[in-house]
Amino acid sequence: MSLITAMDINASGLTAQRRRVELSSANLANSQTTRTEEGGPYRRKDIVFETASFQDSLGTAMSGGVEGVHVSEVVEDPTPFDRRYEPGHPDADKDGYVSYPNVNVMAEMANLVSASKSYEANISAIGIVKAMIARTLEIGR
Amino acid sequence: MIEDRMFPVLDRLLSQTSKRQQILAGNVANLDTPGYRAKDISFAAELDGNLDMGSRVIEVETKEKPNGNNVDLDRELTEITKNGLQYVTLVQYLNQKIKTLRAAISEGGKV
Repeated sequence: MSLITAMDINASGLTAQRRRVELSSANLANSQTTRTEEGGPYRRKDIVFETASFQDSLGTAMSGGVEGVHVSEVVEDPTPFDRRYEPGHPDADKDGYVSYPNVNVMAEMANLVSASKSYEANISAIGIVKAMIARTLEIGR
Repeated sequence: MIEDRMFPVLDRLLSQTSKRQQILAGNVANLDTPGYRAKDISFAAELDGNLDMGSRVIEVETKEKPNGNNVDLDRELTEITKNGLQYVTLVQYLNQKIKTLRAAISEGGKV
């Protein structure tokens, strides 16, 4: 049933946006982390969205530009670390500077708000499709 | 009466409305996908002529964001709501048709 596909498409939006919230939260949580497994301070992660073609219930690819979304990759932000003069810090270099993660807390907060707004938009679209499906079941009653 | 010509028309309109819901759902899902162009189905163009409604997907001309994406969330949510209401209206109309038909069948036997 094609309305179910509409729901699946919005669900792909929910998944992608939730992933974005997760990454942003990880960035915020690690905004002061100076030690990581790879060595050096935490590097800010960013998400890349890509359109995903959808299949109908019979498994054939949908024609006519019906596209959902998926996370194509998670990339590291190459911008330089924030260097602060803290000679007493155990991770300070010989000049007394400590490299802190390149996480901008303000930008992450804005990103979180934007992601949650997009998430809600998908939720309301799903709500409308749900009402449509419920009506379909009433045909002929 | 059973060969009511409205039934095939309603059938096609319902399919078109649910197809449009998919397209609009895709727009909302791709709200933050760089370079994505919002899509829609043109109903007016399909309703002319002999009601032969093939689906035609068009691109929506809304203002582009810096990342090349032109999905306007307010427009999409309004269109989704309108499309949902249209669907409900069609189902209501179809039900009314069926009710009339049913009345004709049952009342006819009570002469």
